[in-house]
Amino acid sequence: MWRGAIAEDENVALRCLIVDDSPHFLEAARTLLELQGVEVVGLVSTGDDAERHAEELAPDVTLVDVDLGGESGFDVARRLADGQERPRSEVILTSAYDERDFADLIEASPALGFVAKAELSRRAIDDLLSGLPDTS
Amino acid sequence: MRYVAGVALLAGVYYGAGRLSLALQYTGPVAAIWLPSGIGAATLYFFGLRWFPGVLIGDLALADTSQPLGTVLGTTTGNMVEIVVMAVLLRRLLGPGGRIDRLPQIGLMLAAIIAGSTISATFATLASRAGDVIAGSDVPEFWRSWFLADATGSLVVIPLIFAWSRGPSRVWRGKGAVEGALMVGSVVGLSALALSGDLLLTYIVLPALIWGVLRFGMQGGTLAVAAATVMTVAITAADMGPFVMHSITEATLGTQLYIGVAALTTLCLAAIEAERRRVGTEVQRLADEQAALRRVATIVARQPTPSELFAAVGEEVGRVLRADLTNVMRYDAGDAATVVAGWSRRGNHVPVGTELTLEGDSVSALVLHSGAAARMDTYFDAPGGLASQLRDLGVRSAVGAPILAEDRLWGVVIAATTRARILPPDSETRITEFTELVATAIANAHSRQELMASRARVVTAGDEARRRIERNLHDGAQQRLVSLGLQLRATATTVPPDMHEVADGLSDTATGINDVLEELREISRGLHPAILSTAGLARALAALARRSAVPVELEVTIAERLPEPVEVAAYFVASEALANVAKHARATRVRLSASERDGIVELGVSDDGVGGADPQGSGIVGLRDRVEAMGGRLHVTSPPGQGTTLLARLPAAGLSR
Repeated sequence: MWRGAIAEDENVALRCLIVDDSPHFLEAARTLLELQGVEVVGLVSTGDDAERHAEELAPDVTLVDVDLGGESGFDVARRLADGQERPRSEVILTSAYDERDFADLIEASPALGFVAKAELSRRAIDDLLSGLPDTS
Repeated sequence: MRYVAGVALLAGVYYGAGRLSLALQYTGPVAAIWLPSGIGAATLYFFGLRWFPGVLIGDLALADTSQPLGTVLGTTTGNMVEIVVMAVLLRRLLGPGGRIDRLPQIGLMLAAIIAGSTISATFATLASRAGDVIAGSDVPEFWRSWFLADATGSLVVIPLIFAWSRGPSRVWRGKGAVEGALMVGSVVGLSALALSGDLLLTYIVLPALIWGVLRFGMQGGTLAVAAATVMTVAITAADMGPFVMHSITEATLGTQLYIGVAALTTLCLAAIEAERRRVGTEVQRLADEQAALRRVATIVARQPTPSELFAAVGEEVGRVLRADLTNVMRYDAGDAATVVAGWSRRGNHVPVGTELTLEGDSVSALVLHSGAAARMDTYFDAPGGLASQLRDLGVRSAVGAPILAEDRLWGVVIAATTRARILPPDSETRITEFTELVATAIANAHSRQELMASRARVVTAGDEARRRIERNLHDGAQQRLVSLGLQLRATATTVPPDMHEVADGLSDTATGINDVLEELREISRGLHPAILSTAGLARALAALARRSAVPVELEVTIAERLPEPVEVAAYFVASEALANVAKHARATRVRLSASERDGIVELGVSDDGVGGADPQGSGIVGLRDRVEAMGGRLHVTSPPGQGTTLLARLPAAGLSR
């Protein structure tokens, strides 16, 4: 599936902020997404930093890990959604856990959707943004 | 000075009693009833032989100076020896305290009186014959009259003094005083009636004497006999009644025998009545104790929490000992103790959980150091903080008994009185007996509590370890693998199109990493579901239901978070039960419910499968162990063909200590 996503939409700039407490993941995700044409505007690991960067950098999409060590990614997603004055900056939840483990919480959250970390790609983000059903 | 006054008083009383006896004398040399000997003997019995001069002076003052000096001295000597012998014998035979409420004591007292009276009568007879006061032919009758006068008088006076020596008993208070007056009045009245004619009707006084005994005990009996004696002698002395016969000696004999027999009968009856009351009290006490033990046993059978049991023991000890206040304390390391139960008639006791240092004086410190029962009858000037705390509660007298668990001093049970009341002398014995009977239950309850707590700690520690491993897996290996997978895919995108074999190899490897990740997730879930700590039991159960192979009907009404060990236990019960349903039940539907009420979490899993689950099977036994480790209960019903229902009840109030 992901191989098909590589070449798509590279001409459309997509600005992305990543919130995760694992430095390995932050680096790997940036490398992959940038290769796929996403402009990664920031890498942060706490809710406070996420709020500040979201305000300053106004990314098109913010990827938030549901489990930020001491913090709940669901809370951070809610804070980002509540603090947003401009429309069209979406929150997407990510996790190394399975989506089914958190289905209720994901549904209840203001986030646009969920992408499993292992399935992360420009294509998966675009699908969520364009309202397509999650195919992961 | 006090001694002189005492001697004078004794001499006066002795003389007065002698004059009274002589006033009621019919005629002739011998009084019908001689009261002074009994008074003298009783006085020397209670206060000691050093008061003897009072008796001597009184007796000399009563001497008949018309008689020869030798006769007077001989008679007085006889009286003195009589009184001393009686006093010494009474002291030897009965011990101090003047107790005559048992039949053997009546017999011993009678023996002392007979011995004394024999001495006195013999001295008097010899002295009178030697002084030629009486003729040789009168000797037998003279001796007999003298003996009976002293014996009868003493038999009336000594028990009267003994019985009243500790002051009037409670029975005379209030209405008792009125009834007592009526009783004495009827003795007087019936005596008057009995002696008003020539017919021998004196037996009609007996019912009034019995009344005195049965309602007022030894005090009533002796008082009634005294009243009857005074009436009989007075009326006969006035030349009236059936005892007035042609010969004075016969009249004397009749009176003496009547009084003697009436007195002795009354005393025996009073002793028997006292014995009956003692037996009644003892039976009541044993019945109370048995009832108390039965109540404790009933509570023990219900497998109470230790605090319930301690509270029950505290209350029952209080009731059995008729105490105002009780404490059950556990000894801790060093000279310290913790109050584990308290009870009070008025509701103010040392609070449960109070930790005390056993410095200074207290029953708990005494029991700790001696390992045996102990008593304190005043905390008035006892040093130490505990003593002052007890003083503040108004504690006056306290007894305590050790609680021995497997030969180890575990704690102490203490019963105390407030106000001025002192606990009775047998209290130590009784609290010890009662405590010995409940000690095993207390020790067992304590061991069970320890066992429960340690079981819960073991399980909780296990859960904690699993949660930690899950976190480490998630934060470490899983994140690394995810990142490696992403890096591989990133690398794959940089591979030139003509090297598509390399790109394919990289992507296959990335897929392989994803498979490993999926396996790791499965293992993690089994260790500890992340959603349980993130979102609580309700969400975790919902996630569990979604993954179940058999469709689940979910009914969860728990909104708030519960203590973590309870959530974990409930989750794993549900998880294990659903797995069993999928494996064995061949069910089409399963209902999973969870609710919380009054601090109890109820988790139910019921399916429509084949039933017939083995309650001893390892799956159910494992679930039961887990539930019971948290102090809960598991019920499983699985009739063949009717599905299986499993109900776990877990205390959500957390773990007991």
